[in-house]
Amino acid sequence: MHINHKPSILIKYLIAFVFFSLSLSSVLQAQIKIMPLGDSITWDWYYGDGRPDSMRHGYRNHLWYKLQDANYDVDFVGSLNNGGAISPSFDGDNEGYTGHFCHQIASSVYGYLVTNTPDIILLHIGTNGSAAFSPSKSVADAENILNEIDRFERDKKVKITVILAQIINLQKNPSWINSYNSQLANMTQNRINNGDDIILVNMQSAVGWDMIDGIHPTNSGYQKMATAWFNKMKPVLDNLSKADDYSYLIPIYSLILNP
Amino acid sequence: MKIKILILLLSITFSMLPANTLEEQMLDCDAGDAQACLNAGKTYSAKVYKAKSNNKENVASKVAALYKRSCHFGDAEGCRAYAMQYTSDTDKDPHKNAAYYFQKACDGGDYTACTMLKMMPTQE
Repeated sequence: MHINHKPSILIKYLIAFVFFSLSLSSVLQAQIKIMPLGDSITWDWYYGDGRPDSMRHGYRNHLWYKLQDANYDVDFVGSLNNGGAISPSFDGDNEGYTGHFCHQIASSVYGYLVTNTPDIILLHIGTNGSAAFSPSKSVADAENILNEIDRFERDKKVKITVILAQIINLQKNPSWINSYNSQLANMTQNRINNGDDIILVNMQSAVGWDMIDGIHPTNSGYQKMATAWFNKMKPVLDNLSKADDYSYLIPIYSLILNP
Repeated sequence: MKIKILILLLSITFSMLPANTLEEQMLDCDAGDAQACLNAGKTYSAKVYKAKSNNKENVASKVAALYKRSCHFGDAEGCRAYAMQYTSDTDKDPHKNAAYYFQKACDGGDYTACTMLKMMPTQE
């Protein structure tokens, strides 16, 4: 009796289809979602700024161009959008709330994450606190933002890396910023020691005094911010990209289709 | 009779729905609706500007004018939005200075405007 050990064409194509579907789904998931989160420094506004929203970009367009140049497949996420008239175009989605304090972001961030769940959050927040609160109260509120992100990660069983900024200078009250940034670094280190996935980035030194109104950066200041975010984010992006790389499946397809 | 009541209720419901298109918002704004002026300014800024990006200053001043009307019709957020759009070279208002409108917004209960007022850089 002759037994045919070679799989039929139909089975071969069925196996190939299964592998193809698996890798296709991984490709679809491979886009890394990044949420720019913060206040007017994320949204892009300064005192005396008459631009319409479609001309606002902040650090986000510069970061977008860097990510595209480096061939990362990313998606900026957030319920707000601006910068639609900027050329070259970029993904204007963000969660930048002009005039907001840390505690306002803390009370809303869970909802933002439900609407758009990112892989990475870029968080620059705290400046407005200098108008009303002590640096320690603002750092405690900033920690509540991180607590809320952790709560979301536990509830939804997802992993989010937070890149947390030591915030840029403030001409009116530089000592407040120094104190806030120093306490923020201590708080962050404690959380990192306890296993929290946070990366600290020093925007104060990155931007220096490259500011338009003593509070918000100039365009060149925003470019510096983009570079600082990018450098800290790159290892995370490489890691996430590797985790989603299914290119090893290509020889398997070839083997199945052409044994 | 039931149908008449139903039609009446539907008309009331539809008349209470917020205007969605820019044209509707502009009409309601012209009729004195502060919220509609604010929404028209936001819509104009986000959508119309893109198509007319070669005329930036003109569009910026139209957006500012809509926010200003919203403020004058009594919307605190409109006052804040106008203060944020304020530029010395696009407005001839004698009261024109951001602090005045931030203060107006703050007095009207806009918490964010109060913060922005405090954060304002000191004038040279």
